[in-house]
Amino acid sequence: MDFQSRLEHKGLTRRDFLKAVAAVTAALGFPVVYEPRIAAAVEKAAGKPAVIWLEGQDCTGCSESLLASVNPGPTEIILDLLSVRYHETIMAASGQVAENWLDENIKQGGYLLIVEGSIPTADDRFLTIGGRPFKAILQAAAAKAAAIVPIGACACYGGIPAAGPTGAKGVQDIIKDKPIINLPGCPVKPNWLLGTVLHYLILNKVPELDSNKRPLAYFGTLLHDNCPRRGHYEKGEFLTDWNDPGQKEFCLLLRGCKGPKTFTDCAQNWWNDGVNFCINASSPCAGCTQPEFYAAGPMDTRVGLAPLYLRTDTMNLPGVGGVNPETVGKVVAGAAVVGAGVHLVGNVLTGRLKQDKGDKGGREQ
Amino acid sequence: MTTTTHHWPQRTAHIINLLLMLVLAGTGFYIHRPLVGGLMGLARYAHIVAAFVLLVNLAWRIYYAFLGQYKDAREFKPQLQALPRQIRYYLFLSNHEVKEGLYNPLQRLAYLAVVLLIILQGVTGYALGWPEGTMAVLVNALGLAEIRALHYLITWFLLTFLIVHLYLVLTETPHALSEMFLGRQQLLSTGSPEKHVARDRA
Ligand code: HEM
Ligand code: HEM
Repeated sequence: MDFQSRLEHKGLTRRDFLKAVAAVTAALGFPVVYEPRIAAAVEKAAGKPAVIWLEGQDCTGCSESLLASVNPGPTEIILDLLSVRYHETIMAASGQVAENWLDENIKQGGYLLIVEGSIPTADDRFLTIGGRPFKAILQAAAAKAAAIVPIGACACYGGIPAAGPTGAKGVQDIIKDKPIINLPGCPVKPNWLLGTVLHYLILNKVPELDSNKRPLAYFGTLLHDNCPRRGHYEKGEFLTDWNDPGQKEFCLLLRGCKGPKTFTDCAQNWWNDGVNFCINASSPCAGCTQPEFYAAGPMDTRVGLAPLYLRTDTMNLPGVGGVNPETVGKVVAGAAVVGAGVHLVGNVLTGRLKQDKGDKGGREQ
Repeated sequence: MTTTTHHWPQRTAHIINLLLMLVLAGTGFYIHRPLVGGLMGLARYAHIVAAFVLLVNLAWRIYYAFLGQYKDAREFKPQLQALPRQIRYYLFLSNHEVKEGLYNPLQRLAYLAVVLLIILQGVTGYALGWPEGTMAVLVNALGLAEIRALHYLITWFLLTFLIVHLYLVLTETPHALSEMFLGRQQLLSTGSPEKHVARDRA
């Protein structure tokens, strides 16, 4: 089947397709004149690149977010463009057949490896598939991959499982010698995956990344700086009472919003094909695109951004773990006040205070 | 030229520093814990303007310490060997403080620490304000949450310095107050020379 009829088969018109291409072109910062060329490249690449999709410790929410869109949208296009060779939740094969199929595809090499979910490092037994530790499967698959795209907070940085006892880590902590394009989020936003895959198909290279390996095109701006409620922040209008209709548009900072600490394009590029996004729906930002999103637990002393509705002001001191700067500050400043008070008593008792210290001669040395 | 008192350039820098520090701490605490109905925009604006003036003031002060007409960099040279004796003096274990020049060994360390803290505030503050620019690598390495907490923690350290600084200035060198702010010696008490015990060299 050619590309056009495959699109039609999916219920997608060419117009839908071009619209999706336009959105991606804009998001990646390509000039508009590139659009036809991108569409052409996509059509040319269609059906060719193989994808292996592994799932570690996760909730399948990322797959869900990609698959559950009602209208044929970006996701369909991706799934249609790529030949997804292995995906636990959506493939028809199961059991040994599926595992053999995976091995065979790994042998062929050169595929795009998409990883969903974190990797347990405390003990291999936390996650095995067909008796093999997930870490080993990932390493085998990564060895022959062209590039790896971890999707969702778990696969990128450990995510919510990092707060548990499994020693959950992201792909970048396990695989060091392959190009990695992190697409965090809880779940990943379909547009991000679509754009990244298209970018990779068209230019055959990794997009510009930040030092957390996230594409700058999507994770290069601070949510807080683009927030639709920013005006209320500037005016000092903060939501304190959920039940007060007068405050419903106000800034959510005091209700735990992590927007000022979170890099994402959520404010510009809304979820569910542009229907809404967390802050606009009156939920504080959870900071799900940040490495420190949920990294608070017995196995990880990094400070996380949870809980959602509380301001998390704790900081991480190496070796000590989370401390609250306010507590430390108050203790230190309090000690200074007490120290000064005690010293003053000493000063009075020893009579030192009364001594004349206006000694000019003594100052020249 | 040796320095025996606080000359006007140093005094000016100190007063500017003092005023800006109060503005920064005030607006900073507001930014950290805003009141409903306040003016965040104004607070941040004032904070950032004050911060840049503070940094310029600091840069100039450092320049002046080395190359100014009344250069006083050597007044701040750490004297670690003499430190224990100065601490003994503050603990009332000795009646003699060590003071060669303007500042005793503890003062020197404290003032140098303040310089370091202000620079750290500048770096973390700049990262908070412009996280996508030159600071992006630092921001991504630590996370803005951590940087914000650091900026806040250092604010407390500066406040702690201010508390101790004020206490010691008032109790140990009250005469320096007028020197520092007005530029002239003013003997606050007219004690007899025998009373000068505390300032004797050890
Ligand atoms: C020297 C250069 C400085 C720069 C460039 C700077 C800049 C900033 C910026 C951009 C913010 C964040 C505003 C926001 O969250 O949107 C901030 C917050 C703050 N600043 Fe500064 N600042 C500086 C110095 C200081 C100093 C000297 C103090 C204290 C004496 C201070 C205390 C604070 C506090 C307490 C906050 C609130 C932090 C929080 O949200 O927890 N800053 N500063
Ligand atoms: C009401 C507040 C303050 C008063 C009354 C005050 C007073 C003084 C006095 C009298 C001296 C000279 C000490 C001597 O000769 O032994 C001094 C020096 C100094 N003070 Fe303050 N000070 C205040 C606030 C601050 C603040 C907020 C800072 C910085 C955070 C600061 C930093 C310094 C430094 C670095 C010196 C060394 C001298 C120099 O820089 O030229 N002071 N202060």
